[in-house]
Amino acid sequence: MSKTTDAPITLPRTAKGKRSVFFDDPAIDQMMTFIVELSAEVSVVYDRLDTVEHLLDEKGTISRDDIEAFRPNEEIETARNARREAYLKRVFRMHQEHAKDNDN
Amino acid sequence: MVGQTPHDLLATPTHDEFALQSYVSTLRMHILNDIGSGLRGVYDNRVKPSFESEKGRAPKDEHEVRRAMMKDDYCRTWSSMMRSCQEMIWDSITPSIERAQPTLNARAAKLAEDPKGSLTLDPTLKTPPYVSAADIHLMPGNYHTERSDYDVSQGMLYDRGVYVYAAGNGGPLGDTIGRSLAEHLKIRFPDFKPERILDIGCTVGHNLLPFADVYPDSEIHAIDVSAPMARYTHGRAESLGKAIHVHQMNGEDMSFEDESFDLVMSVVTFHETSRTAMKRILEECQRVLKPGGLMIHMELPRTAGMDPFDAFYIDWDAYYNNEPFYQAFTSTDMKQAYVNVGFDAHKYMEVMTPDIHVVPREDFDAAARLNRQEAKRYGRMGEAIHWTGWGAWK
Repeated sequence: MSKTTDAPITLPRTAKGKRSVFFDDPAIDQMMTFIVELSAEVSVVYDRLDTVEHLLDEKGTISRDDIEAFRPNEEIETARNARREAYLKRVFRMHQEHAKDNDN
Repeated sequence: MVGQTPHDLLATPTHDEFALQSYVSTLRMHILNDIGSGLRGVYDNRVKPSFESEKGRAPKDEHEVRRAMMKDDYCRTWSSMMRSCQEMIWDSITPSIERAQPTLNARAAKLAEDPKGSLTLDPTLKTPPYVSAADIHLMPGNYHTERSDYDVSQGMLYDRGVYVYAAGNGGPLGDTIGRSLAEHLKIRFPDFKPERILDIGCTVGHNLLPFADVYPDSEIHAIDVSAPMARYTHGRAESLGKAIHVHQMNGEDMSFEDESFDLVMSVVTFHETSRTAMKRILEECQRVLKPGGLMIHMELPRTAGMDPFDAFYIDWDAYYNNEPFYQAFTSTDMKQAYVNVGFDAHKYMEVMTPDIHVVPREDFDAAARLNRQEAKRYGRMGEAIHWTGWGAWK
């Protein structure tokens, strides 16, 4: 190792090894990835909107820098988490007829 | 996702990256707890009866359970979501590291200039095959990949990744297993005051730093085969004001003198090494431990004798989360493994402790005195979580 440059790096986005396929048709695995990823995008947009609303409540104006610098305090993050959990329960609603835990 | 203790080697996420990391944490808990908790019912009510009517008997082991469960759409959906979510953990963090890397590397180098502890790298150390073979738990680049002489990016990825993975349940410093162990040992063995402590496979030092708090007079050493992890462990410890001596070293072949440590420990290291490596590491532990010293390895629960469904659940990661050595470990008889390298069977001991961040302190202390905890869940961040360890006195 002799590289000491501070040039920008690109880190790998996928793990080494074969990706597991769970369904008979791999297209369903692909669709599952799309759906789970999309669910994340919706949540991120919701948080950004929530940030805009908080900034408007507090300051009456917003800028991109204000949005970027905004970090939720514990109270806001708790509210966001409750919203995320409710969202997850709605969107990823399993057909549960056999899934009842017999221990509980 | 607020609450991770800041230090100099954490990259700053953008607003949206932070929101994404927070979501991935909650998503993981939903998949694990809300959807995952249905797996037992699916097995008992659908998969097992179907197996029994076909074969005229119940599944005899976790492998038969796995083969049957993985044909069930509920389990397939859960598995597919688990896999995607695990990939999303790393992906939610990576861009922040790419932006911050030059700054982080420079900070790590600066933290090494006038340290409380020390950092000793070994550029000649060969990465063992169990590290280079697979990207463990799907972390792209695994522990060892380095891109420059000061690279700490894989350390940062792991540090933040563990926090997102555990949804902050590991505490602000991600140290919950180590802190639980250190506090447990102090209460259970009040006369044991280790002067020199060694952590094998320290990654970023999450579980080692609590020992600096619990045993403040001790001299603490940590080893890891990965240079990025060693640099990061050292820089993170310095940034948090802890004196740790970090060495890039393989636990199978340590350069420490015989009988030079009072406490030799590891936390979730063995399940990421091979069976051969584990034997060599244990031999080395035996060698470097002082007479009267304690060796303790915190790890995943044993699957031997476990209900086949529970064993299937524990070992799911071995098949679908790039943990190729997981099962070799979970099926090992630890007591026998210790005896095989020269420990006395009568000096074998086990640790079972509740999580110090979860239970009230008086309950934690009572459990340490009794070394007993009623628990239904295994190492997956549930409310009744407990941590398990296998040890021996020399």
